[in-house]
Amino acid sequence: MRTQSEVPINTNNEVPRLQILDWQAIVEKHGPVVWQTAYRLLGNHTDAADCFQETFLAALQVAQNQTVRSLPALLTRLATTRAIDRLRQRARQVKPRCIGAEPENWDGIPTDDPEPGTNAETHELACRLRMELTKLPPLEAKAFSLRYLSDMSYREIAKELGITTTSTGALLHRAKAKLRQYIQSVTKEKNNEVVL
Amino acid sequence: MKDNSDPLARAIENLKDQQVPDGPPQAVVDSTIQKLAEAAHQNKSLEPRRLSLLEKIRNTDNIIKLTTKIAAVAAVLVLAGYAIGRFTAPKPPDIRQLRDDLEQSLAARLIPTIRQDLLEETNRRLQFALALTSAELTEQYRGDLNRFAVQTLMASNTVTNHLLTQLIQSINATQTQDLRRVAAALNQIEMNRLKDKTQLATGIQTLAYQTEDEFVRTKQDVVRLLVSAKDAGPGPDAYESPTTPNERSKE
Repeated sequence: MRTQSEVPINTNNEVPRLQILDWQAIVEKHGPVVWQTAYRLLGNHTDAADCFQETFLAALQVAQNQTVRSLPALLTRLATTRAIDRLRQRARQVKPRCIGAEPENWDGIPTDDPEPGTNAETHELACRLRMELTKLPPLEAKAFSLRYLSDMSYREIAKELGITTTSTGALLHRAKAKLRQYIQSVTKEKNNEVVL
Repeated sequence: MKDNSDPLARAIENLKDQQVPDGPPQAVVDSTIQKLAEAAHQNKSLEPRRLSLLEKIRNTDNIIKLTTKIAAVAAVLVLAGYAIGRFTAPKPPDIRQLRDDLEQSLAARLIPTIRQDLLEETNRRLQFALALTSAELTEQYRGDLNRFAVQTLMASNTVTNHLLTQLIQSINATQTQDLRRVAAALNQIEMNRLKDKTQLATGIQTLAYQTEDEFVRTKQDVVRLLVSAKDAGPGPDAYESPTTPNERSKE
C-alpha cells in the first residue's frame, strides 16, 4: 500500500476523485496565493489564518467527492468564498465601520510621504470596497473578487461558479454598478459632512 | 477600470496595491497541514472497505453453505416437533368438565373486565357531561358579561353625554358673560374717549382765546412802540443798539 508521500503530485492537472494527495506539497505550493487572496479581502492576520485553514480543509473535501479540474482556481474560489463569508460575519457582528481599517503593521505605513491625505484616502477607499462587498449578493461578490482581485478570466470564473460566461458578465456588470453607487453615495455623504 | 475619476476603479486599484504578505506564516502552514492530515485520516477511516471479486465469491459460497446448514437444522427440528407432538398427544377431553372449567375461567376473567369497562364508561360520560356543563356555564358567563358590559357602556355614554351637555352650556354661559363684559368695557372706553376729546377741545379753545388776547396785546405794544419811536425822531444812536435784547424788551 502506498503512502501519501509516494503518490505522484500533479497539482495543476485534473485531480481524480478520492485520490490521496500530498497536501503538504499543495499547501506549500498554493499557500501564498490562498493567503494573499484571503489577506487582501480580510485585511488582518487572524482572519486570514482562519480562512487559510478553512480553504484547504474545504478543498480536501471537494477533492474527495468530485473531480477537480484546476486546483489553483478551486483554491482561489474557496478562499474568496470563505473570506467573503467572514467579511459578512464581521459586518454583522461589529458596527458598520471600515473593515480592516487599522493595519496591524504600523511600521509599514510610510511616514515621510508628501501627501498623507492621499494615503489616508487610498486606505479608506480600499476599506470601503471591502465593506461594500458584504452588501452584494454572494454570487456577485464572489464573481467580482475573482475577476478584479484575483484576475481570473470570465471563463475560469464561470467554470468555478458553475454558470455560463454570459451570466458571469451580467453578474460582474451588476456588481460593479452596485459598488459604484455605494461608493459614490458614501463619498457624497462625506463631502456633505465636510461642507456642513 | 483604469479611469482615475471612477471611485470604484480607484478603490479596486488601492485594494490590489495594498501591502499583502507574500505567504502565510510557517506556523499557519504547519497547523493547516496537521489539520489536513487529521481530516484525511478521519475520512479514510470512515470510508467503507471495498471487497475484491475473490472475497465476494468466497462470501457467496459461505452464504450457500450457511443456508444449507440452516435448512437442515430446520428440517430436523420440524421432524422432532412432529414426533414429540405425536407421542405426547392428550387424550379426548371430558366435555362437561371442559365446559365448567371454561365457564369458571370466563367468569373469572370477564367480570373484572366488565366492571372496569363500566367504570370507564361511567367516568367518560361524567366527564362529557361535566365538559358540557362547563361549556354551558362558560357561555352563560360570557353572555352575562357581555350584557353587563353593554349596559355599563350605555350608562357611561348617557352620563358622558349629560356631562358634555353641561360642559357646553357652562362654556356658552361663560362666553356670553365674557362678551357682555367686553362690550361693557368697550362702551366705557368709548365714553372715556369722547369725554377726553371734549375736554381736549375745550382746553385747546381756551388756549386759543388766551393766546389771541396776548397776541393782540403784543401787537398793540409794538404799534405803540413804533409810534413813540417815530415821534422821537432818529437820533445819532437810533440805528445802533447799545442795549441788550432784554433792555430793548423792557423799553
